[in-house]
Amino acid sequence: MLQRSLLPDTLPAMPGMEAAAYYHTASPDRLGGDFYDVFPVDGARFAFFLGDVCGKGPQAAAVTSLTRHTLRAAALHDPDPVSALTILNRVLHARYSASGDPRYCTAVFGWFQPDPATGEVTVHLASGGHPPVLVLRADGTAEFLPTPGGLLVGILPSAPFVTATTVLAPGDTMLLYTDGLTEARTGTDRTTLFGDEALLAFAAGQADTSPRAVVEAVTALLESFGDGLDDDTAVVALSPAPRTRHPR
Amino acid sequence: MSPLKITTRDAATGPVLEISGELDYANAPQLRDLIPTIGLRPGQRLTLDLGRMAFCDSSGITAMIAARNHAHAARADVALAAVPAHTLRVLRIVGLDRIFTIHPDGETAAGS
Repeated sequence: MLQRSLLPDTLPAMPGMEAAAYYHTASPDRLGGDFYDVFPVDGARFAFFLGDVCGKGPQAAAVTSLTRHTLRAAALHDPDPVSALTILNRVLHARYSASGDPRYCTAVFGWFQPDPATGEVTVHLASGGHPPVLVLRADGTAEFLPTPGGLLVGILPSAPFVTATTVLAPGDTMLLYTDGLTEARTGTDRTTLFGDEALLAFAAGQADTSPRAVVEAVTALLESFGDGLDDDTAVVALSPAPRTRHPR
Repeated sequence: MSPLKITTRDAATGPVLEISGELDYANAPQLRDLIPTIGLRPGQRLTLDLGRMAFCDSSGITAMIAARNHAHAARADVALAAVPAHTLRVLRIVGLDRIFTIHPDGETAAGS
């Protein structure tokens, strides 16, 4: 299936980190355009991205493919988040702006670096038009990493992207998601949505577990929306690996 | 579900498209097809009056971007007027609230 070729088969093994991912396909005949990836960029750092290409079908899948390959190449050249999104913006704008058929995506791109001495992980990311990343803290709180003003990638020749930084301690989890999650309908009309506040409340109840457990909880939440979920949804959870005792 | 209805009128500032109903995957092509037929002179403003828009998804957002591109190609401006709260929320997330001129109501945008 084509969707499969647009997503990584598995996430890489990462010293000092744990990760889990899930992709919900809304409709088998209307190929969605959500995408994500996690991969090493140098000896110490890993890059990650997740996003949502506008539209559906084969044309959106072509944009998704171009987006994934561009971000991977950009990351290996320079993992700076704004620089990677700026390259993607140029590539998409150059490819699609003259066609009269605007094609664009939302994306969050970043890198993280585990510190073996402390077990903490430093995260730098940038967003282009993407909903804010969520951080679940070990103490049971949850917070968004706001990135207001980051623009959709590909609609203008040059676009502003907004950065955010955080440190994940053992027990913390960073959750990347596409808007299928927050835009799921929870009422009878089309504008009553699950929304940011409900997501934050949900996330606060999931702290101090593991990426696998968080992704399983989100998967169950997505299933609970039933017909209210009519969009593809991708989620990726990343956490510092639990500390193991050093041998004496 | 309410069908999409688009009414075009001329204001002092330029053409105004009054959009009512649902601007979604099924209906947005109607707006996409209409946009290239809208005549614009340099310095005019194309206004999308969204006061009676009941719903807008990413296809609707794409149509608004197409409207902006059409206006800029004619060296004209584009404005969104009376944007419903749920759509304004989406425009903020995707950063378009800083790209489009946004007016609280259709009358102000059209300068009448």
